[in-house]
Amino acid sequence: MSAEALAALPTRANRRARLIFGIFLAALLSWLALDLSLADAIPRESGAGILSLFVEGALSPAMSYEAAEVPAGTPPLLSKVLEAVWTTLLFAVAGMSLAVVLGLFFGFLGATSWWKDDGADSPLGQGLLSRAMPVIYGVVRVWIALMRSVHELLWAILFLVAFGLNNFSAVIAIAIPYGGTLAKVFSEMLDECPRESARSLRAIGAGPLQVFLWGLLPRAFADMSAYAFYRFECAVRSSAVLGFFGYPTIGYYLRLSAENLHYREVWTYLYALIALVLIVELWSSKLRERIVIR
Amino acid sequence: MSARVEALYKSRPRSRFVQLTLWSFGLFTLLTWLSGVIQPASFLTARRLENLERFLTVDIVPAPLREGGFDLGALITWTQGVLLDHGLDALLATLAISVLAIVLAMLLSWLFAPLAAATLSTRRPFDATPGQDLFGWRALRLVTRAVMILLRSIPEYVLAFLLLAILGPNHAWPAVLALALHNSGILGRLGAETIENLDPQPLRTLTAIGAPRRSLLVSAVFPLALGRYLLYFFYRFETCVREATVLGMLGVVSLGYYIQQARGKMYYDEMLLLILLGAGIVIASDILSAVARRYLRTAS
Amino acid sequence: MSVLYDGQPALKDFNLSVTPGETLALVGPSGCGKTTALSLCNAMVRPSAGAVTVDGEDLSQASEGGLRALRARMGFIPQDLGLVPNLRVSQNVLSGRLGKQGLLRSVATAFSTRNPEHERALSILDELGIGEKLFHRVDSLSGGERQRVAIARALYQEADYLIADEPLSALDPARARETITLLTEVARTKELTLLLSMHDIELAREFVPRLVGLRAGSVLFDGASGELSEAELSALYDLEEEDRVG
Repeated sequence: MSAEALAALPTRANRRARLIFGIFLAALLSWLALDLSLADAIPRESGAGILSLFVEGALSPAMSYEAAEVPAGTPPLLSKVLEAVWTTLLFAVAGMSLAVVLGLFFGFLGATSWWKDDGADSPLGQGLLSRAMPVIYGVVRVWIALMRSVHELLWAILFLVAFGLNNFSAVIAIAIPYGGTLAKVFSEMLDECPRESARSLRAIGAGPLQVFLWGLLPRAFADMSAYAFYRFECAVRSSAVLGFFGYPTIGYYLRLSAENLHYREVWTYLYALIALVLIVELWSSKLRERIVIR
Repeated sequence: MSARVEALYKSRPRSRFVQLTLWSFGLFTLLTWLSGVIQPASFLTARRLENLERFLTVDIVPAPLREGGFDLGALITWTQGVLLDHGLDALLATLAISVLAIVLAMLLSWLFAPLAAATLSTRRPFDATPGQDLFGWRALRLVTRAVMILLRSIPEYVLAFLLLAILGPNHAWPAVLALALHNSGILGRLGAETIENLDPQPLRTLTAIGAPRRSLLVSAVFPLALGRYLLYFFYRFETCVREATVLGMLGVVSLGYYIQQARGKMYYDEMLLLILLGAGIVIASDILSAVARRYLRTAS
Repeated sequence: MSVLYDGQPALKDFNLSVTPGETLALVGPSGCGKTTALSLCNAMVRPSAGAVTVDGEDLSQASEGGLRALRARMGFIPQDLGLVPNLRVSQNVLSGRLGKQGLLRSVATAFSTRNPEHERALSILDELGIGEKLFHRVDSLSGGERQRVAIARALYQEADYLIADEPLSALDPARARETITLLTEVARTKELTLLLSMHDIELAREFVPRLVGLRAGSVLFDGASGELSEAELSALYDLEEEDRVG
């Protein structure tokens, strides 16, 4: 460690200490603002009863309906769970497939590395495009921020009001904010990946789009697909929650069971969701191992 | 194409797993769109279009402007009304819920992370040749990780819904705890990864001179991992604000509560205003977290 | 001709002319302006005063299209090779002609393995002894193999000029000798104009007919490597020592 780096250490530690102090102060203020009492965090009477049902349910999830009587012709619980898992997955996949397209398109327009290169002249030349690009870039960044700052459930409500209950509404409710998040992260990855491949291609006459496709996209690709996979995991959870608004995903059935105090059924759905998320997570960590650049 | 290029192509080193992923995701996406469950065209029925037109031209137009055209004064009065009536309070509550939740999550994750990190939660921490662990250590790691997985795979919304039934309404605990529990699972995992990725050399020196695990953790691992951990912390804070907004729809008093109420009363103009307000604080917290991260990074 | 970086001169009063078909090496200590001088040739760096002309054309006057066409005629191997590590060797070699192809054609070439260009790429790689690696990922290759892929990319480009910035700096002595042999051989058989930069003067004297000594952005000597006096060479060396002390 150089002398300069050593001298710098206290400052860095100071900043951290200041930040942590600020964080705890903010938490204290929030506590006061919310007017919370610790006693409320402990379940009482009926709540305690529900808690014990809940814990019981975790230990023995239901394999068949808890209700004493089930209307004739109702499919068995487990097949209903499977169906809920299937639709949850369908919504997540459909939403993500649109989100990836949106994310790639806006991520490309929201990245600067293919049309701006520090310390060299513009790859776009002196033409109209080189003057238009900063404007397009600015507009796209604002657009991306708008897409992702509205939560998927709020998009869902907007579409619900505008179109009525419709499966495609749920899909685009996922696709818009996820597309925005992917676009933001993709563009950052495209701008932060090493530039030497891109520069060497530009030096042999490749145009800006070719430089993007050969020199930048492949270098960022491993990180981009790992992140997309992580977002897919989140999309599965979002898709499950959309069920609370009437879509036939896990959340829908989970809510019904909980409102009937059938907590063993609730846990069957929860375990199904956990298993689904876990599989996606394991898959994505295995994939990351294979595609990382050595 | 010559036989040699063909042969070289066939024998190219490739990962079956990556190919399996590509094919299965491609096929599954195709299947999803062909399954008929999701029908983009169903968007375009006459009734839905009519509905959309009414929504865009009447419903979301602020009430005082629906008749008699644009009047800036009336618009400002109306906006002020909504904001002062409940908008600003809800905004503050949303922010307070997310700050408290993320700090609780941080404290919990400081418990989880060291217990789940394979380099620390082991018989001989940061040893170059760790060797086989005793059952106790392995079980401890496994249980911690399982708890974290459980917490982070249940969505905040579902957790809050369940906690609401257990803790009752009229206070913010269900939302705070739901966000705190979910994020502790995520921050705990990220923290454990940060500890595992620490440069083991300086830590080995400490274990070599006989530093006990406790002082190793407090005086070496924690300060070394803190910088990176705080970056993750601020990333999660952003998402926490986003989620805190919508948790109100379950009945906790955050923005979502009033959004849901406006929707129930079919005051769609007010609903849109509140949604935009929510977008506003998400963008603001996004900027705040970016500023905090830069403040950390640029420390000289 | 001069080049300024952030107001600091990287090259001053630099003047050099190269005859087609020639092999030339810029030698000198690191930081003396070799990379800058090479980057002037394909207009990746613009002079702050003076002009660069290639075949009588002034580069500062060239349009963006004209510049691309010119760059397409100049093979370039940067010090870090500039390969794309997670693409296959074939894709890296085929990217050599991006400057000569439109976007659509280049995409079609990259995505189809059933395309005669692979034969061409394979025969070049065979000449360099790594034909078997045609469809391997570049990041699975050794350093020497990567160097050959970079050379193959430049050869596939079918350029008139080949510019190589410090091609030997990261190699062990045996590998360095092998690579410089390869480069000069290739330049001779393909009748390429080869511009190199290197800091190992012994190797340069042995393989490169014309040497240009650079020190702190100025030409110290310029002549046939056989005619260089020991005094001139040691001047470069002494100054290098002095630089270090200073």
